[in-house]
Amino acid sequence: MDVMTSVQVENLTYAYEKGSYALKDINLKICKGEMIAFTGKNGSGKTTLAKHLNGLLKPTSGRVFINGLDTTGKTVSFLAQQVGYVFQNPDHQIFNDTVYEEVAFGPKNQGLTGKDLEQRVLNALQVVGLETYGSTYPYKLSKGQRQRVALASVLAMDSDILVLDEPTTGLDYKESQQVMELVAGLHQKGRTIIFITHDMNLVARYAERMIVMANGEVIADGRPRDIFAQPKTIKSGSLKVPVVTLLAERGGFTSRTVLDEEEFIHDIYQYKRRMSLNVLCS
Amino acid sequence: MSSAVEYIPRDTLVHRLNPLTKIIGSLALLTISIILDSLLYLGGVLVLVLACGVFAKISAQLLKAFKVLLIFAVILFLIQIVFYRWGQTAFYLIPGTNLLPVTYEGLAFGAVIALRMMIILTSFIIFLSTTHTRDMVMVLVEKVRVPYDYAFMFVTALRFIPTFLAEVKTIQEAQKARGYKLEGVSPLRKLKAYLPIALPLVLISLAKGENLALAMETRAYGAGVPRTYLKDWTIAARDVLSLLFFLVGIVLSIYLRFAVAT
Repeated sequence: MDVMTSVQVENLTYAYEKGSYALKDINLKICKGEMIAFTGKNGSGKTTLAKHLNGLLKPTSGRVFINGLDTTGKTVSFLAQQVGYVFQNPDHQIFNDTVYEEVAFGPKNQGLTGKDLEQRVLNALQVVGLETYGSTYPYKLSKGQRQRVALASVLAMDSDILVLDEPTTGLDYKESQQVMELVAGLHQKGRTIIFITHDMNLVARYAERMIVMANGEVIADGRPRDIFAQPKTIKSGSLKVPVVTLLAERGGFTSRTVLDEEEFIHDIYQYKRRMSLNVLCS
Repeated sequence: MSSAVEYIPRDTLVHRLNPLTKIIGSLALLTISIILDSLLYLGGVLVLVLACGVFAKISAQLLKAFKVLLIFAVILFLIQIVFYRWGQTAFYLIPGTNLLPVTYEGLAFGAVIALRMMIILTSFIIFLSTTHTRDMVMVLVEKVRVPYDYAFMFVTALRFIPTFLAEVKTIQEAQKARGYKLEGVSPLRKLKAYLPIALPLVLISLAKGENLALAMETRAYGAGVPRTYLKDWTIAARDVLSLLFFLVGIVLSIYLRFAVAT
């Protein structure tokens, strides 16, 4: 295995109960510094797969490697050094009286103390823009802010792989944008980001790569631009591509699969220019 | 054990019996097993109870519970034979000495107690796993006049156990993902170590309770209109027959115990 591989999943099969498979023969390789989205409808296996990445679940058969380490026999708290996992609902983890203490919980478990600990916590709070809220009672914060506290509490552990399970659920538009911009910033700094989402607009905007899951299997793996152009995959993954993508496809003015408003407008201008040139030449 | 007393949906005669019949039946079996004191008869009753479980098509689940019961039965048996001091000594637990004598009567008594325990618990397990909790409570409300508010509280509490267990699991996972460890913590510190699990659970539960109260109010819970019942639990022929069967059982066991000299 080369050093550029963050996550390597080999023939992973997982059954919650005997005979009913939640994951079937998954093979997946995620490189260092990738930003990848796990998509698919509820119950397709996205979260089950993600939980294998930090050892919360162990393969029924097959193997999972994190930075070259086999997760079999490793504890979650050990793997937490490599993989940060942000849960969907921040209220499942917040238990401290202050935001600072909450964020410090993870690094303290890693054995950090004194100046190092303080540095980590302040850094993480700064990244999520909550540096002035250190002494605030977490439940005084809005849902979006609590989501950012949860994110900071994982960031403070300084793991280079980050898994986010539906990080924007229950957030308003502005809050989800803040969270996603933040995550994109972390990606730019070289972290490997894996996020689970139902929102194809987020996928179009932030993911370099996406996998589509259905019935415990990966049915597609590639760039969002390529996958959005496959109606069959979209249908069997129960996904809904962004409206602009559909509109551009129906409009027939561009040959590429459009991902966002900017591309849409760009292509429509190009089309208009071509048309007016045609008129001039004829 | 918790999985052993869950309702197991099947379509059998035992499932279709009126819950009240099954409650009475379990109590009747309890009475019978206390009245009887002969190993042979108790064994026969246990076989009948087990046959009832097989008939209700829950033998696989029953077998699982039965294995656990068997362990308890053996423990109970051992305790009885050690402490039973009357009768003729069969052997000593510590060979070569006359410490801890075990008597023939003690052996028999231990076996009787163990069998009774198995009959009583098995019959209740069959009752609980063939009766939906809701049906059971509804019958208690409708026929035995248990106040509905209390019955509702009971059903809701039962209904929330699996929900809370799921929450605990999620919270545990979320904290583990942040390097939280419960293993290797000294017992004294254990209480504090549970805080990261307990606190989110309490807060989430309070929020859930509040939501439930709101949802109930929006559906006019406690509006004061006399409630009606979706299922009408009548006493069918099968119930009468079963009740008769249990009555005969009790009479017969009294006869066997007191009239037939043993």
